[in-house]
Amino acid sequence: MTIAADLLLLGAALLTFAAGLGLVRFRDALSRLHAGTKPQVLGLLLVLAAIAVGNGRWDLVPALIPVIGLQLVTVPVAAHMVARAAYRTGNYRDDLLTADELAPAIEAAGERESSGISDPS
Amino acid sequence: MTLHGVLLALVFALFAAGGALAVFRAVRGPTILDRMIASDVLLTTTMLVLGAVMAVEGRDDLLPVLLVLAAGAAFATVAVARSVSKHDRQDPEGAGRDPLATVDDAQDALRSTRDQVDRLTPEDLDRDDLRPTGRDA
Repeated sequence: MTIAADLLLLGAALLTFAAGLGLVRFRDALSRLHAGTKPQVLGLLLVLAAIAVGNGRWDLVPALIPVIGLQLVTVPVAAHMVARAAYRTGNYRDDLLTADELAPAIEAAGERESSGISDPS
Repeated sequence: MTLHGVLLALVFALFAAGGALAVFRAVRGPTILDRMIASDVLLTTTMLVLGAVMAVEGRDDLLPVLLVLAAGAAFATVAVARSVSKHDRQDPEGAGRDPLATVDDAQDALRSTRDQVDRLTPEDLDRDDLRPTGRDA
């Protein structure tokens, strides 16, 4: 039982290390964001499973579910906001993008604004 | 050393390495967004280490800490991202530069604002678009 918990923890630790490595090695904020968000969901899920397995107690599971639930709600919000800010301040590298689907939308919004219709954002 | 001991040493070494790399990125920047992503990863690492301690020592008293961290961790990131996106977009020649990043940038901005104020003529001051409007003022 302890070895199973250890292996779950090892998975989470590997994800954390990969995130740290990605933060250091990647070149712009968007790809760093991609690297950094892996342990936030899967790593936490593995650690919570390790807590239940390591303690060998089913009664901990209802207490662990809100933790991953809250994390699943808040982490995408934060990642979305950071990515939006990174895009709007130009903190990304064009040559690393394969597709930029937001640029035409922003252009269209700009045309609407300049033609006199107020921008709701 | 048992397999259990070896695995635990490896686990906490990897956690420590991941946290150290995140600290490195938070210190280096170069923009406030990189620092926030790094601090997010550092906080996640903290949560994972707390969870690992719970799993290894068989304790359940740290669960409320995990709960509060999971609920509140994202707000700092959202707050910082908001303040960045409200800032003016970067000029093309300054691409990759962050207006909030360094003291030097702040001083540059202050100097350019002063220059603009110095160049104002009385006619400029009478123009409507220079009056504060309350919104976007």
